[in-house]
Amino acid sequence: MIWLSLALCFSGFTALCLSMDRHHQQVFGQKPPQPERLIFQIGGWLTLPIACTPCILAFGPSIGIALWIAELSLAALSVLLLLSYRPRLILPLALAAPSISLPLLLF
Amino acid sequence: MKTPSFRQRNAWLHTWAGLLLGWLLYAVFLTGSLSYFHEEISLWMTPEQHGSRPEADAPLKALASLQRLAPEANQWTINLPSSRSSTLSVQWLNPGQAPGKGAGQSTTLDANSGEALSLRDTKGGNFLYRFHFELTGMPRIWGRWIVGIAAMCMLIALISGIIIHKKIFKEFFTFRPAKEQRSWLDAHCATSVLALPFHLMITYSGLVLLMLILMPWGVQSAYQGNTQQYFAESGLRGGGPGGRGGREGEGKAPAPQAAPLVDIAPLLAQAEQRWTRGIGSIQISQPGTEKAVIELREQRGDSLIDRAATERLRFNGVTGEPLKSSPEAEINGSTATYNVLSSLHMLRFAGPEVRWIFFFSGLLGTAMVATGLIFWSAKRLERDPRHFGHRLVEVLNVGSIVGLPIAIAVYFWANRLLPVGLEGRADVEVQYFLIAWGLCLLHPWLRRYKQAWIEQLAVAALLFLCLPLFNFSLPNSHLLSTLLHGQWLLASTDLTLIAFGALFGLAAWKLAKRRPATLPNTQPSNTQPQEATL
Repeated sequence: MIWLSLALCFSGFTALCLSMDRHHQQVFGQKPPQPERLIFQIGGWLTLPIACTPCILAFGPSIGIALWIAELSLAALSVLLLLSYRPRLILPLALAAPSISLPLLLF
Repeated sequence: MKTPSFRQRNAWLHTWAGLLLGWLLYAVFLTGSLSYFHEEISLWMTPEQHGSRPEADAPLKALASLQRLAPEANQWTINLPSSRSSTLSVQWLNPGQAPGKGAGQSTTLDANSGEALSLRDTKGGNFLYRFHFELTGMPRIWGRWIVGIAAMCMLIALISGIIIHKKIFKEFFTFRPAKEQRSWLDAHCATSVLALPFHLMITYSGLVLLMLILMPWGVQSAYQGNTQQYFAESGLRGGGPGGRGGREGEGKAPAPQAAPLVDIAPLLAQAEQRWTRGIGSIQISQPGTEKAVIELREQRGDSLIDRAATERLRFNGVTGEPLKSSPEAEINGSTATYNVLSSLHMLRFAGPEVRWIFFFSGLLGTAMVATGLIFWSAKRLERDPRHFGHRLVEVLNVGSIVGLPIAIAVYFWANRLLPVGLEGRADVEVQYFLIAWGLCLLHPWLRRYKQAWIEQLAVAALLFLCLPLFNFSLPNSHLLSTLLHGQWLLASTDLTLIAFGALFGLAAWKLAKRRPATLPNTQPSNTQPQEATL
């Protein structure tokens, strides 16, 4: 659960940073066109609260929310480091992370 | 003359509130982050415990040992191995001893054999835990005052920092590496902004934990100085009604008849079935008599509001019949608030995953302070001519940012190398910590700034990397053995030491490789941002 939620936080922040001119340029070499920008924004803002759900399911509301907030920091930090050092990796990782962490739930 | 704007005034406040107490805050943040693992560190620091690998019959082994060690006792308590410990810790109260915190005799048992272990004398992780709110080498109350004042400055620095940061959202993900000053400022902003909720929470809750020391007047006037009564009435610090069970039958009542204790295994099985987290502890009052009562306590709880209070099951100790449990204390609003804040700060409730995530957040806080301090000197270096204040900041930067980790490593080394039978061994370990830190604060005076960084970073790397290697000289403590037996508490401590060592090594190497760009006595601004995390 903790991995899924961390992965969702990461993907959510990736979407948000891709909706910003400077970072979209870092990753794709150009500014985001209007419709894409909106999709990234909405996707990001939706994903971040959704990431809270696995935490609450696993740890209950009080610890779950505290954990989610701490996860947001770490996820945002990894987005920041990837943007600075490996901008190309960020999109594949953001797509792969939630799908890889889903099967982990089975164990 | 133009009056400074609101933002400029706050910038001034942020700089000086941050700088003057920065080194202390760095130490508090670093030792505080390590305190999330203080039990694990204590376990690592007592290799005598490392051979204990608990199995399912550990509670029965403990019971058998207690029957041998303390047949006459009035009360036995057994703390079972948990996700944070691998041995049994048992306490007992002899007739006439009052129950209470730290009362009676206690010892640590090997969970396999049930034999008592003689552990080396060490303060373990508890030293780091105490250091982060009381410091050391001074009366506790002074230490708490100093840390309390530092925490207030921290809160001021956080809030003024938010005010002076012009582009919180626009530069949310921004980090521009290899740009001297700019990089340090980016790193400082990123570590602050990204973990801001954590920083605010940890600073504010830390102040709440110290509130009765910093602002004692409310309680003192309302209770005429009787703080004990305040604790009892408010239910804070576990002093509330419904406390621990198993206190009846004391005093002048005729001695109860002897009776054998019921087989405890079925009771344990019953509790195991009920509690997914498992049993945390077993308490038996009046063992070996007809009045024996067995109380089982659940492993830690999962709510912040009641300080992770746990469920209890009580049984008649002769027949094994279930008894009614004592009622739980009611919780009012202000107690609940205090509980949420203090539990969030101390993380007593948390399992390993939560602990790690908070540990990293704590390291981000440490990095925030460190990058702020380095930025201060990097910025001044370009603007002003060099003067004494500058040099002082540089020296303190090196001596605390790397010096403190070196001191902690030396503390660990002292734990491993000092003879086990040494008189006052635990205090000698702490002395080594202080001496090492003192030397690290002296060394930068004698060296050039960059050279001092490189040398201390290299020493830190060496000290941390060699600790896990030294463990190979101990039978049950080295990585091969701990990984093989799945002792993750120990293995992850060793791996963390290696990670710290590697980061210091990387930082030293990067810095040594770097050519001075513009100034002959330049600052180490090309190193990776992670390095400052340590």
